[in-house]
Amino acid sequence: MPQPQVCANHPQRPALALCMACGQRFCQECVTPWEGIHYCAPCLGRRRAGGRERRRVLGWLPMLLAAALLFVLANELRVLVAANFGELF
Amino acid sequence: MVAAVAAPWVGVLWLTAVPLRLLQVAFADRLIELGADARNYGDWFNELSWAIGLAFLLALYGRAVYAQACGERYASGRTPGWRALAVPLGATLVYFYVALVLEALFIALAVTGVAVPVLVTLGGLAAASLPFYGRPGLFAPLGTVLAAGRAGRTLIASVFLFSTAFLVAALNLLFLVQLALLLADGASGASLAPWKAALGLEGRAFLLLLAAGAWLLVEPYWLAFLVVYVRRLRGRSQGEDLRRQWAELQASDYATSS
Repeated sequence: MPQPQVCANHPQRPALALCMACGQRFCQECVTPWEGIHYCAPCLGRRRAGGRERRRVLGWLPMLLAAALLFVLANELRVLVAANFGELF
Repeated sequence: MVAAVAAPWVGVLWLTAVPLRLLQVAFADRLIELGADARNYGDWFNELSWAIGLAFLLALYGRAVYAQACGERYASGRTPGWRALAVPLGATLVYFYVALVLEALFIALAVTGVAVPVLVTLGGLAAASLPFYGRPGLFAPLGTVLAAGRAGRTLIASVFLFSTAFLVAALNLLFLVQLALLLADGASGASLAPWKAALGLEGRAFLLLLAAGAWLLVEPYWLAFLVVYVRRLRGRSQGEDLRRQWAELQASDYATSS
C-alpha cells in the first residue's frame, strides 16, 4: 500500500501542493501562490530577493550610463563653448 | 560648525578643489586671451576640458566628504573622525550623477547669467542632500535635490549673502597681495614692476585666480550652511526637529532634577 504524501514541514498533515522551485510537497499553510505558481517560504524568499536585486541593478544601470554620457557631454560642451566664444561674446 | 570641522575637513575640501579651480582659471584665461581665435586651438581646449572633467570628479569627492563631516557634526555635536573620509559609495555615485547633470546644464546655460546662481546653489544642495538619496534612478535623485530647494526665500537670501561674502573675500585677498607687494618693494631693492603689473587689476590671470581664491574661502561656509539648511528642512517635514527638542527638554529636565 502506497504511503500517504505528507507536508515536508508538518508530517502529521497531508500534502496538498508542490513547490515548483524545490519540488517538495507541502500542506496548504506552507505554500504561497506567486504569479499563479506555488512556492514554499524559502523558495519564495529567494525569488523575491532575486527580483529586488534585478530591480536594484536596473535602477543603477541607466543612471551610471547617463552619468558616463553626461561626463563626455560636459567635456564636449566645454570645447564647443570655447570654439564659439567669439560669437557668444 | 566650520571652525569645528576645519581641521582637517576644510583642508580636504580645498585640496580636492584646488586642481579644478586652477584648471578652470587656465581655461578661462586662455579663452579670453584667444577670443574668436579659440576655434583654432580645439585640441588644446579638448585636452584641458578632459582634465577639468577629471578634476571635477575629485572636487565632488571632496565636497561629499566635507558635507558628510558637517552633517555628522550637526547631528551628533561631535567632531567627525577619519571615517568621514569613507563616504557611502552608492550615495556618492548618485551625487556624481546629479552633479554631472547640473554641470552640463551650467556649461550650456552659463552665458545666460541668470542660470549661474540657480545651478551653483543646486550643486551645493546636491552635496548637502548626500545622505538622503534613496533609490538610484534617472529622476528620483534630481527630485530629492529640487525638493531641497523648495524654501526659495531662504536660498535667495543665501545667494545674496554668499555673493557679498565672495566679493569681500576677493577684496581682502586683493589688499593682502597689494600689501605683500608694498612690503616686498620696501624690503628689496629689486624692481617689482613686472610683479605689480601681473598682480594688479589689469592682470587677467590674477583676477581669475583672485576669484578662484575667494570662492575657495567662501565655499566651506556656504556648504556648511546648505548642509544645516537641508537637515532642518527635512527635520521639519519628518518631525525630527520635535524629536530633537524633546531630547533636549528631557536632558535639561534630568540636569535640573539631579
